[in-house]
Amino acid sequence: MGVKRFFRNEIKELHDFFKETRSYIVNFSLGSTFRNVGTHIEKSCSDMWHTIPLMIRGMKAEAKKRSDLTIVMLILILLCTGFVMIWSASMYEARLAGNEFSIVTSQIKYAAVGLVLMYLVSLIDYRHTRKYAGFAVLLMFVMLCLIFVDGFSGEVKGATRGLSIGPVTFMPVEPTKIAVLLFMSHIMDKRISEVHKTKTFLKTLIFCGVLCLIIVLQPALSSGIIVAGLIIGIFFMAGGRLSYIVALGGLGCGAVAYYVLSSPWRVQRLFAFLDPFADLLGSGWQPAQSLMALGSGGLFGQGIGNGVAKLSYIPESQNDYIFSIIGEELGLFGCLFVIFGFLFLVFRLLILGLRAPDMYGRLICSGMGILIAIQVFLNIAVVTNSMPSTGITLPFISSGGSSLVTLLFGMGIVLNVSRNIRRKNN
Amino acid sequence: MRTKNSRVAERRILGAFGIICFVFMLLIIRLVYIQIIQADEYTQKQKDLITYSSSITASRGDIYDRNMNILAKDATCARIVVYPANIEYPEDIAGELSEALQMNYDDVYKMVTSDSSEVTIKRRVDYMTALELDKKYNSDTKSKQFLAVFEDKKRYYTDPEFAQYILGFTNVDHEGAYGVEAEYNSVLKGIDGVETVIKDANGREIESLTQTKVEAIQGSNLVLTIDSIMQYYVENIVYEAYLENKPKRVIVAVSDPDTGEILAYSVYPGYDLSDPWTVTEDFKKAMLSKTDNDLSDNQLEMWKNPLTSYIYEPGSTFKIITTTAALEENISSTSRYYNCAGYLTVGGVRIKCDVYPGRHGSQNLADAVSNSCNPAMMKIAMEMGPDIFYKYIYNYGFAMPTGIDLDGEESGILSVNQDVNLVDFVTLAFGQGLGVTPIQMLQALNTAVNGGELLVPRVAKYVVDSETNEVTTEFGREVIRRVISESTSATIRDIMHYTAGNNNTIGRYYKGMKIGGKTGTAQKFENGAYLSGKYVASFYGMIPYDDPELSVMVIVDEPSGTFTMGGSVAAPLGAKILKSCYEYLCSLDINETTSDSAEMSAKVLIPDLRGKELADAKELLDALGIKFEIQGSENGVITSQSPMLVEYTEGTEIKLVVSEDSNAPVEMPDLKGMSVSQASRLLDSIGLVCNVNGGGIVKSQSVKAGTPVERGSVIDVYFEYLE
Repeated sequence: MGVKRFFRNEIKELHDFFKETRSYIVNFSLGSTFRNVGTHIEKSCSDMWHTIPLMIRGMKAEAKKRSDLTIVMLILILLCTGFVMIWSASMYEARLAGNEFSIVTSQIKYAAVGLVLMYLVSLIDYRHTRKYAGFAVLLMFVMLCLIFVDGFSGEVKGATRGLSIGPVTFMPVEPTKIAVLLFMSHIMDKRISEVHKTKTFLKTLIFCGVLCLIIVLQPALSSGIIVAGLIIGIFFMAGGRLSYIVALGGLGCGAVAYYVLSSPWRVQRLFAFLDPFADLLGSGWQPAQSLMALGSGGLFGQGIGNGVAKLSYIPESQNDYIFSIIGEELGLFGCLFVIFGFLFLVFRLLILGLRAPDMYGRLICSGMGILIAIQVFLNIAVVTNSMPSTGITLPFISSGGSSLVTLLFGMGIVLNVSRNIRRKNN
Repeated sequence: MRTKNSRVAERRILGAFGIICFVFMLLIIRLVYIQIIQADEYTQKQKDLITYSSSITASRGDIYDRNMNILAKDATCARIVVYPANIEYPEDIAGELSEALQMNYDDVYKMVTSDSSEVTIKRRVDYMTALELDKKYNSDTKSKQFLAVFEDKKRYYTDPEFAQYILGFTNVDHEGAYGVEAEYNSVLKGIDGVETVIKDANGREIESLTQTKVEAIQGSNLVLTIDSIMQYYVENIVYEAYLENKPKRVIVAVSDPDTGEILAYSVYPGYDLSDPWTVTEDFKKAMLSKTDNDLSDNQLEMWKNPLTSYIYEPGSTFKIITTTAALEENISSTSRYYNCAGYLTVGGVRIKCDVYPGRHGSQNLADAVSNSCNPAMMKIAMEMGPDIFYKYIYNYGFAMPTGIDLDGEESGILSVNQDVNLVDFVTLAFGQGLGVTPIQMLQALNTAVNGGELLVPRVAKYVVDSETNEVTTEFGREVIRRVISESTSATIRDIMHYTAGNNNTIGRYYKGMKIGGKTGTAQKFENGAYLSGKYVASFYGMIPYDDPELSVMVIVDEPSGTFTMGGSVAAPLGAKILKSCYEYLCSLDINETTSDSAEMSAKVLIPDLRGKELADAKELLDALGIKFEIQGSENGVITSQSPMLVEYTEGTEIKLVVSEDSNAPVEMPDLKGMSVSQASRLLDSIGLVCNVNGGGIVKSQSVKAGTPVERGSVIDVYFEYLE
């Protein structure tokens, strides 16, 4: 197969794609597609509705199957590490605000809710979730757009806005990650035979582009990068063409570079990353404080509670910078413990992916592994000043309700996949 | 059943795990680099960032007079510091702070917007004000702390116009700037403590974390040779003389000729210890010309210690030096007669006597001194020759510092023996052609009357440890050299007694007193010429002449009015001082034996607070630990006080009568027993004008005490001298 032929093939596929798109648009304008879409939505809604009794009925049977206890144990270990470190990191500022335990208590509450949710979700046959994947992505998309509507946007932290509906304020970017995971797994599984086609790639590209754009505009650049990474990751797992993945990755990097350079505020952050001590009192403050905290921890750390970075030197260190508190108080060994904990969890998730009964489950498990790996990597890279700072939480450890509950929800689906693995010895 | 797709997916999953392991490995390498290789660097950087050291100002030692009456004392106050980086609204904060601390808004604004991380806004702030500010800004624990209050020290002097030039004052850094405060700074200042604290990013102290605190060590106390009572006498008499003669300046020092100790030393006009930075009105009027507008130059001029740095021509008082030198060398004796023709021609120059065109005729040595005859002195000097005379001038300590423990000492001016021509040499015999400082003159003449030993003059007596109250250093009698013999000294004492007796004032009013002395009047020499009508009148006196216990040096710079001579201006002043001080000394000898140096317990002399603002007086009384009771309003000027100038006994209360400072008529205070300075100061402070009649202490006043008087009215006050 010569290069010429390869390109001819490509061009033909591209041509087909545009033709199809044009017919879509033409049909849409004629109204027939609209009706089709309408019936489609009607059908999926009734599908979702009818699935609920099935799910509930199947719970008993699911409960009898064994789930993967290693993952449960790893999650619990990471959560407990998180509780201890959140308590240590937040006690000074929380004490000034009135109650030393206020932040760790709310984190434990969120964890409890999340764990119950994880268990319940693990009782639902993961295959039912397919029917909700499309709806979930659509819902999240709507929510991400609603952020820009006055009356729905509420401050949560920093620049990133939360969505407030009634009394509840939460960040739609967190559940979006799970929705994308399910949707991508579903689509890739359904179109597994077409995964090599340029058409599939272009559709993925458009989906990824639109979604990431709306997330980045939140503004949540880091979440945009994570979602893009997740989409590319699942596309990769499903067997997408490597050349496309490299192209997609390059495109993503270019977009990020353009976005960063377009704002002087972000350029400043970039320079702070190169030498954080040059502008210690300005934009270099957080990375410099983080480095000093890690450095002063040394090999064995200063002991839990003895760190000083949490004395407002790293504001709200229990959130994105919890890892530098771990480094300061538990030392390099504490850091390695956490990193290997995550590595083992990711490994376990990927192993589940290998053993999953079908492609959908496989993509869910390995996608979850990729999602956690990306977040951990980016978080530690920021904390060690290996990349410009951006707000990324450390899964299961950083404080924050939305992210924790969402992650545990996702782990519930994974656990259900693990229940459905046919074991060799059974 | 494994499809082609699932095989691909399996390979991809393993690939993904490989990539993940690889990037995590990179993170671990980065962590190892930070936490092992760069660990020390970052640990140090963090430590530098979070630890703050601040110094704790040590309390300066107290200063006491020779009877352990307190003269200067430290009290704790506050230093206000801001952290400009934490201030969000500098305009508002600057406004509030400038109002609370009574400072200029622009200065405060400049400080709160400066680039430095920590700025001291004001030192020596009253503790109550500081606590209010602390409460106002630091009770909200959420906002960033931008203001902190540190302990500071403030110096209190019992009386702002009392022995200023001995005590001196401290600068903004609490270091001695002038006087014994500067001279004994290393003894008084103590050792500052250090406090190292950990602070959070908002500048708030973390008390639970390690703080090292090195306590400040209080400085040693200093006991002076000054006697407060004598000092009060001298202060008052000097002020009266200033009012009476309207000179540029009056300088008086009282000493013990046997030990070289200075017992009292007063200068008027001078600075005010409660605010030494303001050039006082009297000083401006008397000492500065209208063209002197530079504040710092004027301040430096005002702070100069005249006792050690004012250089003048001694004039006739120097004749004692000439006479004793001749007596000691047996060139002259009391039986020698000297003829005065009204002038003497030396080297072709006719040098006149004071009586010219009159003449003294033939006179013996005592008369020559008493007459202050210039030709006689020139003859004596010529008989001695320059080598011998110069030897005595040097031996008496001229042309070199006396070594007194006060600041800014000058050496005076004396041309060297080889360079001097005959005319200039002979004029030295009557104290012309050389410059001396008052302390040099006092030291030399004390030597002449004390038996012939040149002593180091002293103002400090003991250094006392502030903790144990033990004397750590004693400054005793320090002999530099013997200059003349006992017998010569006895002879000159008799001559001086005779001389003093011939003085109009002393002969008439102080006949019974055994006063000895010599006056001097020197024309002022400025810009290479003698100024007519401008004199320095001086007097040296001692009492009792046969065994002097007190000596006084009086210098009146440019007296104005009819009388400008030493005999008519300086001698009455000196005699009055000698009388008051000697009578006081005698009463002391009868009442009690001299104070035991081993017993160093402090006493507090209740200061005279009349004429002071109540707020200032309160501060001072609190610092001295004196309890008080206020009658009248809570705001205004103290018009009456009882008791005062006696030792304070624990547990008693002194009574202060206060009149409100407003436009309402004031109640006429009772001035009885007050000195001229006290009376005029008090009346001035409540808005009345004092018309001084006579001198001494108040005999009567034109308006009865207790009657209401319009502000601005003139009160005639009659004074009389106590017999």
